[in-house]
Order: sequence, then structure tokens, then C-alpha cells
Amino acid sequence: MAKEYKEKSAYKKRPSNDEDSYDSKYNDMDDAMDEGKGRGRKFSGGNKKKSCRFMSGEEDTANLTYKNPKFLSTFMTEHGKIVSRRITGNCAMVQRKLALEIKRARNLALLGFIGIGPNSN
Amino acid sequence: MAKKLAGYETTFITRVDQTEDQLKTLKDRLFAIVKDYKGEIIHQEDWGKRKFAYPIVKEVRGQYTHFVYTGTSDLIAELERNLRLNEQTLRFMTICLAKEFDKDTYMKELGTGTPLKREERMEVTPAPGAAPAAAAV
Repeated sequence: MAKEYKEKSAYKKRPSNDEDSYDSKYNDMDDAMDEGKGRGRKFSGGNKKKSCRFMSGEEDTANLTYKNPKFLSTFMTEHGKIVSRRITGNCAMVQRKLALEIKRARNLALLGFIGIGPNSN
Repeated sequence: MAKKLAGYETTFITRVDQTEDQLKTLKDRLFAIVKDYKGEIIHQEDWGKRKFAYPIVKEVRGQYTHFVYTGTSDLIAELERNLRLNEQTLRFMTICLAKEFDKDTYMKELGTGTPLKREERMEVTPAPGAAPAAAAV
């Protein structure tokens, strides 16, 4: 058994503290993630457990229509860009629907392509 | 049993200097077309006059109308042709809601819609005489 782990780690060329233990494989993965230290910590944001506010019931998915430009504009920057899901915490399905509805509203001049809407300065 | 028709919704924008009669004739014509193609108008809304987020054909404000209907696919082409020909319409958008549209579920969802929706939609912008907001960019 010990030999198998050694061979695996040798093939993948990961640094490991204790090559014989079962935990070494998971230690290796943690080390590999921390390798990009500067980059990883810059972009993580610390919101690893943020849940989608629509799926958890805080907000109603029925509000996600192009007919609610004010509500949709809360997911846009002041320059009119759609905020990424990494920051808002939306789940993938909701983010896709949100993007679709924002684009529909943009075409109907309810939201802007540059800037949020009619009341943006 | 009759097969359920698909449900669509169309939103179109007309010029503000249009009279109410002109808008009414346009709407009547569109609704007559829907009936000709054996469709049904389910819901109709006037969103009123709104300020655009960006100028369309150098116009800053427009009048929004929205209606929901069932029908076949060739109905859409006819409706859009009529909207395109009309000189007063600036823009239109048709969305397919469901391939097999159920009127009852839609009306239920309408009724339970949050009041915020309706308030936001009927946004009456101040007349152009008042000091306009700073232009974007």
C-alpha cells in the first residue's frame, strides 16, 4: 500500500510532508492550491459559503423579468456592466436568467448599455 | 382535445406625440390580427410614457404597450410586419412564453405578482419642461 502512494506522488511531482500516510494526498492538494498565493488570495474574496439569495428564498425569482428594471439594476455596476456571479453569490441558473433579462431590458431601453438607466448621471 | 397554442408576449414602443386615437387604432388592428389567426388575447397593459435609457431615433421618451396572447407561429410574422410598417412604432419585442400555454397558471402568477412590479412599471417621468437629468456620458 505504501508503495502505491509513493509512486503516485512521484508521478505527479507534488511535495508531500509524509509520503506514507493516506492524508498526504490531501495535504498535497492544499499545498498546490496555496502555491498561487498572491493570485489565489487576491481573487478569493472570502465568500466561499455565500449561497444564492434566490434559491434560499430571500428573493423571489418571479422578480427576475425585464419588466423590473429597478430590481435588475441592483445587479449592475454604475457603468452598466452585469456584475459577476462570484461577487453576487448567484447560482449559475439564476445568473443565466438574470443576464438574459438584463439584455432584454437593454434592448427595450429600460436599462442602458452604458450606465444603468434613465436616471443615471 | 384541442392542442394548446403557444403563448407569446409583445412589447412595443410608440412615439409620444401620437394621439390616443392613433394608439387605439393600432392596438385594435393588432388584436384583430390575433383573432384572425385564431389566437386569444390574454392580458393587456399600458406602461405609459417613460424616459429611455438611451436615445432611440433621437427620441428621449416613448410610450410602452404590452400584451400577452396565444397563437400560432405565423401570427408572429404578421404582427411584426404590421408593427414595422407603422410609422409611429419605434421598437418592438416578442417573447415566447411557453410552447403550450396555460392561461390559468399565467393569470394566477399575475395576481400574486409583487406590488413592486406594478409600481415600477407605471413610472411617470417628469415633463421635458422641467430641468432634465444630466445626460449619460
